[in-house]
Order: sequence, then structure tokens, then C-alpha cells
Amino acid sequence: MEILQLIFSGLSSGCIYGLIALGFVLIYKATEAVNFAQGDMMMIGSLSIISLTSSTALGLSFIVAIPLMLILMALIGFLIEKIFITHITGESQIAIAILTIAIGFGLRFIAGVIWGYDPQTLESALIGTYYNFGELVISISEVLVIVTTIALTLLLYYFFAKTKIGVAMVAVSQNQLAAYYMGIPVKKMQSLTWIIAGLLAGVAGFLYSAKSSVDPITGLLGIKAFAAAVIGGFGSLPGALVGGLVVGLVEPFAVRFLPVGYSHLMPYIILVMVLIFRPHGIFSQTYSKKV
Amino acid sequence: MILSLENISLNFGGIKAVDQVSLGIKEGEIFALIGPNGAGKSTMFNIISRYYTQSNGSIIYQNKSIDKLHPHQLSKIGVARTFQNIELFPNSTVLQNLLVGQNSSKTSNFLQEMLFLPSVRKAEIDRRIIVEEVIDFLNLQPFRDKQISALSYGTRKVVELGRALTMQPHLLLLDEPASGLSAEETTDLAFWIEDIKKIMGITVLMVEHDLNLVGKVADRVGALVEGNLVAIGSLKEIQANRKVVEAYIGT
Ligand SMILES: Nc1ncnc2c1ncn2[C@@H]1O[C@H](COP(=O)(O)OP(=O)(O)OP(=O)(O)O)[C@@H](O)[C@H]1O
Ligand SMILES: [Mg+2]
Repeated sequence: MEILQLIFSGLSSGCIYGLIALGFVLIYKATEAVNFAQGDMMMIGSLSIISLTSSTALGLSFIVAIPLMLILMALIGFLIEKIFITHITGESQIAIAILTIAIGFGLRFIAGVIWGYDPQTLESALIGTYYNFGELVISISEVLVIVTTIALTLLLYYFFAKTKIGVAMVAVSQNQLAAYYMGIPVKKMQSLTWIIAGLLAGVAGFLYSAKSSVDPITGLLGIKAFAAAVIGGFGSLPGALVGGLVVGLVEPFAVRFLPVGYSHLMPYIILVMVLIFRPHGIFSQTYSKKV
Repeated sequence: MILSLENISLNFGGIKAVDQVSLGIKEGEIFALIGPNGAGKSTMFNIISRYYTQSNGSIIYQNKSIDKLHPHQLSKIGVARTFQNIELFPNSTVLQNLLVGQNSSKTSNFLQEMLFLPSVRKAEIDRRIIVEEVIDFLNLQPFRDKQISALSYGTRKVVELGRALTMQPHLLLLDEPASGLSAEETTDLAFWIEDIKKIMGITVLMVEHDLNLVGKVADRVGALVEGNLVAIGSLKEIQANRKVVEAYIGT
């Protein structure tokens, strides 16, 4: 029973890592850049939903607050691309990485100014509602996290496999030059990619706030999600999710069975092992561009 | 004239890659551009297809200037191209590569697509019909569900030609369609290019080093040497041209 309990809590945090990792992979595929601000974007989503619904702040109902927060996150994704990224496409990956790290700092700073540095918690009847199945204790918020992640993954799968816009985005991610001559407005697709990454960060942010308290440095868990994305191969959307689940599942077991302090190292130990034994990730799709 | 280049120039640093080239392509013809390595042939293709913007001169397509179009708008006016180095979507299948093109169907928005409305479904069916015709035409049936990265070089070239055809162009630009092909594949290609002209009524502008193929299919040939268009005529005339002969011997 204890094992089941650990698995369950691992799955739910794994889903969050997976959602952030999806954001990493999405941006990477579309623009060949790593967005190190993805975790901080999630933190903004979390703090926004907390403020929008908190009775001491705006006190909106979730039905209104969630769409508002998602619109805000879409806007943030859109603006980051329009203001910063378009101007440095073609620059080295390092330059783009440094830029997104700087954007992450910026977001943390802004969050600190707006919300301060004390942890905030979501006000909701959901939080603290538990069901007991024998010895297994299941919290509603964890169920919410898992169900939402599964639904969102299916939606993304449908979008990229079946819709024309999704197919066009996949094409852009594989070969921009060719995409132009297939009539795909490459620039628009890239901006749409950042909008979707913003939305993903928003969903992850909401789910995270349903599980835990949030402060401006919460976004640093993006580093674990980055490890998840690498474990998953950094080019594969299902890989990102599986990578997230691996990292999420390992954590509670490490906390339970390893000496204090080592558990935080586990995601990186797995990362290093994957890089050694499967350098292109668990879900590697290797190809090389012929010239 | 379906396409006219008027005094086109483009420099890269100190290199005059294309130097005051004027050229008219007639509706329905196959025009082959030949010339030594580095003569500026691909650069001319990249200018015509709006990937580069010329520093001087103007491009007129179907009596309109296209100097302000974005590369992604070319498919809408009926221009398709292939690349010297094969630019496919490597992690997708042949069928997926052929289905990517977006010219024929009307633009639908995000919501219409997520809901898969009848208009969206109709556009997709139309698209599939075109793609199946191209697959039959180029004998790509055995490869339709294969990933590009699993195909031979020659087959990839054919897929790239097919992908351009699914755009149903009026003008098709082929950059070295026969390079890297076996003799047998090149023979097939010659028949296909003729049919593209005769049956589909598409105007073809191609760059090609294989003069045997050029002789078989081209109505007119132009020779580019160091960015200058030094001669236009039949292949025989071009081969007899002193400037052309010197350029080839010089390299
Ligand atoms: N993007 C670029 N930047 C700098 N120089 C370039 C660029 N593209 C082409 N060049 C130069 O312009 C000249 C013409 O090149 P281009 O590729 O058009 O030749 P080509 O006729 O297609 O040759 P090939 O038969 O080898 O394909 C060459 O000297 C080449 O080095
Ligand atoms: Mg060339």
C-alpha cells in the first residue's frame, strides 16, 4: 500500500514536470532554442490563478479565473516571442539560452515585486479533500492533476497529428526552408508555438498551485523538467511526458528510501545515466541531415 | 512570358553571385540553366523563390511584380520548387510529406479545425485526391508509409519532386533534379519531366549539370558563367558558344 501511495504522488508531480517538459520540447522543435524561462512562466501562471481567485484579492470563480489566467499566459508567450526571440533567431543557441535565462530572472523579479516572496496558496475546496481507499489516501487535487494532464496530452496529440495547423507546426519544426514553400507562414507558426507554450505553462501552473504553495522561485523546478525533457529525448512530445513521469516517480521513492539530501540528486543521476546509455534520450529518433 | 527577370543582381560580400541577369521564361516551356559550379544558378533560384532579395532589378511573374512577396506566399500564386540538397521533413513519412502542402484548400481557422467541420473535411479529401494522383504518377506507392530517413537518396529526390507537384504549380523550379540519381532513375526522371510539361501543362525552370538529360527535355538552355547569363539557345548552340566552352575548360 505504501508503494501505491508513493507511485500515486510520484505520478501527479511527474505530470507537472511533464507539462513543463512539453513546453521545452515544443519550443525547441519549432525554433531550435531552449526556453529556460518555461518554469518561471509556470510560476506566473500559478501566482496569477491564486490572486484571481483569492478572496482577499479578486475573488473570481474558477470558471472565470482559469480562462483569464490562460489568456494572460498566452499573451506572455506571444510577447516573449515578439519582443525578444524574433530579433535573435539565427543567433547561436547559447545566445538564445542566455536570453531565456535572463527572461526567467525578469519574470522572478516581476513576481517578487507584485506578489512578494512569501509562499501563497490556492483557496479552493479541492485542496485538502482526501478520499481513503483502505490505507491508500488519494487527494482530489492529485487526481485533478493526472486527469488534466492525460486529457491535455490527448488534445495535443490530436492537434499535431490531425489538424492542418498542427501538421504545419510539425513541418516547421522539421524543416523551415521546406515549410515556406509548402505555403506555411513560418513566422506565424513560431508565434503560435510560444502561445501554446504559454498555455501549457498556465495549465501546469494551475495544477501546481492545486497541489502546493507557490512563491517566485517555484519556477526553478523547471530545471527538473529540463532533465525530464532530456531523458525523453528533447525532440519527442510523448518522450517529454514519460521523462516527466520518470523524474516524478523516482523522487518520492528516493525521499523514502535514500539518506536525507540525496533525493534531490536523483533526477540528475538519471539524467546522466540516460545521457551515457541512450544519448539521444529514451525516445530517440535519430536522423542526420544529408547535404 | 510566365516569368521575367529584369536586370537582377545580387552580391555576397565581394562576390557578384548574380550580375545583371535578364531572362524570360515562356509559358509551357522547359528551360534549363547550366553553368559551372559557383556560377550563381542556385542563387538565381533563391532569388526567384524570394528566399533572397535581389539588390537590383525586378521579377515579374504572370505580369505582376513579386518583389514584395514572402517565400510562403509563392505557393499561392502557383510557384513550387525543389532544392539542390533535398529539403524534406525527415521525421515524417512520404505520405505526410506530400500532405503538408497548403495551397489548394481554403484557410480554415483553429476552431473549425479542432471541431473538424465539414468544410475542413472536404478540403482534406480534395488534398488526398491530389496526393494520391502524384503517388501514382511517380510510382511512390511502395514507399508511402516509409519514413524519409529510411529512403535512398534517389527516392528522396523523387519524393521532393512529388511534394512540389502536390502544390499544383504553374511554374516548377527544379534545382539539379538528377544529381545523385542512377542512370535508370535519370531515365525515369526525363519521362516525368516531359509529362509534367505535356500532360500537366506546367512550365519548368531547371538547373542541371547532366547535359544528356538537358538535351532530352529542355526546349531552351541558358548558360550562366560567374553570375552572367552568357548565352541562350538550343543545347547545340550553347555547346558551340565560345564563352561557354571557355568557362567549362577554365574550371
Ligand atoms: N548564402 C551565401 N553567402 C555567401 N556566398 C554565397 C551564398 N550562397 C552562394 N554564395 C556564393 O555565390 C556564388 C554562387 O553560388 P551558387 O550556389 O548560386 O552556385 P551554383 O551555380 O548553384 O553552383 P553549384 O553548381 O555548385 O550548385 C558562389 O561563389 C557561392 O560561394
Ligand atoms: Mg547550385
